[in-house]
Order: sequence, then structure tokens, then C-alpha cells
Amino acid sequence: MSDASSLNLLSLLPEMLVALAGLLVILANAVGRDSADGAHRWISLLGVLSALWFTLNPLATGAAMSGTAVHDGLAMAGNTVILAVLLLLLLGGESYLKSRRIPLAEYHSLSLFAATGMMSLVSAGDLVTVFMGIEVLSISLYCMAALLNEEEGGREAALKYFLTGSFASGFLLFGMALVFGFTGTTNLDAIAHSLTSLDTDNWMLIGGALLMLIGFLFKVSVAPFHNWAPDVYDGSPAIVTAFMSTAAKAAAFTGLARVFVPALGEAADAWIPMLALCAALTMILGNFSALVQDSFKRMLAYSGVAHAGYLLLGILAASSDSAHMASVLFYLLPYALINGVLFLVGAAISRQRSGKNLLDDFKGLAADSPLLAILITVCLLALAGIPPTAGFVGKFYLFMGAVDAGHVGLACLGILTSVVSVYFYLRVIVYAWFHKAPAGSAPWTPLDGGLVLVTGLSALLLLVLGVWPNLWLSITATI
Amino acid sequence: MNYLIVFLELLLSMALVVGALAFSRLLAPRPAVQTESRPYECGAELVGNARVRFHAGYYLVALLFLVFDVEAAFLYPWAMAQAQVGLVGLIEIVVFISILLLALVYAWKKRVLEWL
Repeated sequence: MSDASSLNLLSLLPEMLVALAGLLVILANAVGRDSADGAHRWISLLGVLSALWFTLNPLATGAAMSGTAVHDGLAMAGNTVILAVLLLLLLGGESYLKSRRIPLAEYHSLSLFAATGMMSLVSAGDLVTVFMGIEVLSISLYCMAALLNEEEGGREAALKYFLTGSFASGFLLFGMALVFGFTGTTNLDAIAHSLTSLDTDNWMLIGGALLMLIGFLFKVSVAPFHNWAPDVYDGSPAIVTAFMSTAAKAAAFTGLARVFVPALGEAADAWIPMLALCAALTMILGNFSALVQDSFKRMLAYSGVAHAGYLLLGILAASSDSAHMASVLFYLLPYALINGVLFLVGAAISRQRSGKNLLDDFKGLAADSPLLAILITVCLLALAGIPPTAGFVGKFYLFMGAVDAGHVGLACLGILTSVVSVYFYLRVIVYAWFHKAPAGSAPWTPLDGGLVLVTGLSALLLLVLGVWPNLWLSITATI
Repeated sequence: MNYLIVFLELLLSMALVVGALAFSRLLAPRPAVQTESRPYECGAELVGNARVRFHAGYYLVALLFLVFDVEAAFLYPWAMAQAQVGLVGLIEIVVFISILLLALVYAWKKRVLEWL
């Protein structure tokens, strides 16, 4: 670790670039003419690409701002996932934003501010930074959920997200206060250090850890704290859902890992039983609820809940051997890419049919557009964890880590519920390839070329990572 | 660190509030005349219900006020510590104020100030 008292501002360059791009978008909107809509997109692209560059080729690493932020391998992997999702949505989301008349400046600036919060969260070195990061990302996402507030479900989604989210923040904050009260510090390194000499069998510490865990589990939509997710995902604009179900989840998981595995690792006995129970409940509830959904977005929402359960297995494994953290980080990238692609493409396909994101909208897709059918088939097979996709490799590492850590029962449950999940993923594929389009549906109009290109490249990346996982694993394993 | 005292104080304060409400409910005379139950008995006629809907503009102005409020809250400590933080502090506060100013420019451009 470098000198903790130094500012080390250069290591915060990715965050600053993204935040600056967000501010510039607002400025361009405030002083520019109304016709300069393309400027928002170009400023955002420039900010995200430069931030991605400096994330992968950092000018400086280590602790920054007197240890309140730490740029290590975990931060690097988390930032890469967040920026990759942002890039995917920027390149592929233009047609969606235009067709739904989403206010462009507000969308772009809010997504950049949310990303700033996420990046602060994944590189947090202090409980205060953790909380600030979560609040910045949450408040931006509350507003983004309401971007289509004239539509049915839009306001409902935003309000539900806001109320449950603020409730969860309360838990998180109270937990942090208790942990601070017990250890006398909010710095994560200092907490880890002080727990080695203190008696961890203390109600204040256990209560604080569990309250913080509840706050985090709310944010990553783990059962029994998941009920907000389907409604919010369903009511928000698809591109916002694609953002919040991927980047926000990746950031919250990285934050969870950062707070619990290194800092509260000494008190693992207090929080592991609850985490294991929640993981089991999440895998069962998420997968079985997804079975009975008629809406594509709700199905993906429950599938996201189920995947949060699989990712918790990785956190459990990492709590006994921190090398397993790499498996969590590895899975976050394919998971984020798949869901980003599916929400975007699903919305575009649904617009051609009922426009209500129904599973029935996929009927006869292969006849209309074989390319899109192949695309969603690859993505859904990757979500189901079928080789040779990155989804398989990711799940393999997660379950193997759980077995290594002695959670054999949970790993078996994960594999069994994955088998259940194959049914609802395959259902969409069967609809696409073996059903006819409903009579009277409008003739197919080709989708926006940029969207197809970017999502196609993402699907290709899933296959590449499935065959050569080391491309990404070598980055995540440097922690 | 004896938290029992804190807990007792919490109980006591809750009991005080509940007790005060309960006693006034039990002991207070019910108004015989309708006028006595009105909010103000100073002679002025009531003009309507207090639960009216306020113009949404109040909300926006309150938000704008917050911009300046936060600015003031940070400017005072900076002014007091100005000698110690020096040029770096000056740059930081300028960056901070320009970000807040941007919020005002944005709101201005969005015609938040034109509702009055």
C-alpha cells in the first residue's frame, strides 16, 4: 500500500473522467441548442472510453484520498464491468432512446453519474465511501427509472425503487454505525486490523454486520429482499433496466465482497449462516418464480435474482479463501453483458409485436430474423450455463469454489436449480425457432444496425470467453 | 459503556409522549361549540382547508435553495481554514462551486425560474 496520507488523485482518474463527462453533458444541454442531441452521446462515449483506457492502464494505483479509496485489482475488474455495460448501452441504445423519446441529456448525464457512484463503490476503502457510492448510484437510478413517467408502470417503478431503496440504505447506515461503534473506525483496512485483536463474539459487531448485509442484499435483490426487483425492472425503460440489473448489481456485489470478505472476514461466523440461507432461498425462489412468468422482462428479473444467489456462493467461497473472489468477478462480466444484450434486444423485438415485452413476442423470430434468433439463443444458453459459453465457465468456477469452501449442499442446490432454469430459458428459444408468428402481426422491419452489431459482438465475446476464459480470468485473478 | 441508561431514557421519553397524549385525551374538555375546534379562534374567518395542494414550483425553488444552502455550509469551514489549505483548497472550492453553479445554470435553462 502506498502512503495513505497522500491524495493520489491520478488513481481516481477513471471516476473523475466519467463524472466530468456527466457534467459536460449537462453543460452542453444547458448552453447548447436543442438540435445538438448527438453531442450528449459523443461526450459520454469519449468519457467512458477514456475512463476504460485508464482503468485498464492505470497511471497510479493503491490507496487514494487518505485511504478512503483503493485502486486495486478488485476495483479494476469492477470498473471494467461497469464501463463495459455503459459502452454497450451507449453504442447499442441509440435507437431505443430515440424511439421512446427519452430525454437524452438527462439519460446520459444520470447514467454517467450513476456509473461514478458505482465506481466509487467498487474502489471504496472506507465505509463512508461505500455509503456515498451506493447513494450516488441509487439516487441516479431512482431518477432514471422515472424517465418514462408518463407511461403505465413508470412512476410506480420509480416510487417502489425509491422507497425500498431508501429503506435498505437505512439498514446499511445503522449497520455501519454499529460496526464503527465497535471498532472505532470506518476505514476498511483498519476494521480488519482491529478485529484481529478484538473479541468478535459481540452483539454490536454481529448486529452491525447483519444489518449491513441486509442493506447490501436489498441492493443486489437477494431473496427474501428481492420483491422490488421484478416490478421495478418491468416498469422502467428497458435500457435503464439493462443498466440497473447489470452494472448496479456488479457494483453492489463488488462492494459487498469488499466490505465483508477482507474487512469483516474475522467475523465471518456471524454473517456466513445468514448469507448461506439467503443464497439457498434466492436460488430456489428466483428460478421457480421465473418459471411462471409471461413477461420477458419479469422472467429476466427473476433470473437475475437467481443469479444473485449463484454469485453469493462465490462470496461464501471467497470468505474461506480469498482466491475465489476471482470467480465472482469473472462471472460478473458475462452476466452483465448477457443481461444488457437481452434487455436491449428483447425491447427492440417486442416493439415489432405486442410492445409489452411478452414471451409470446419471440414466436416466429427465426423466420423473420435468423441472426437475431441466433443472438438471443447464444445469450440465453449462456445464462443457463451451457458450454461453450462464458456462462458455463462462470458457473463452473462459482460452484467449484463453493465445494472447495465446504458448502457442498449449496453447490448441489445451485446445480439443481440451474437445471430448473434451463426450462424457462429454452422456452424462449423454442418459441423463436419452432413456433409461428401470431397471425396478423405486422411485417418485420430490420432492427437498427448499430444495435445488432454491438450486441452481436457482445455475444461473440461470450463465446470467446467461454473457450478462452483466461482472457478475463487473468485480470480478475490478480487481486 | 453502559447502554442500559440510554435504553431506559428511550423508554422514558416514549412513555412521556404517550402519557401526555393519553392524559390530554382523558382530561381535556371536549369543545361544545363547533368554532372552538377550529385552528385559530382569533376572530378571522376560515378561508378553507389547510390541506391544499401547493404549486410544484415551490418544490423546485426549494431544490434550488438547497444548491446555495450546501454551498454556504461548505464555504464557511473553508474560509476559516483558508490559511492552512492554501492554493489547493482554493482550487478545490472553485471546482466545488462551479459544479453547484452548473446545477443553477441547468435549472435556469430549464425555465425553473420563470413560474412566478
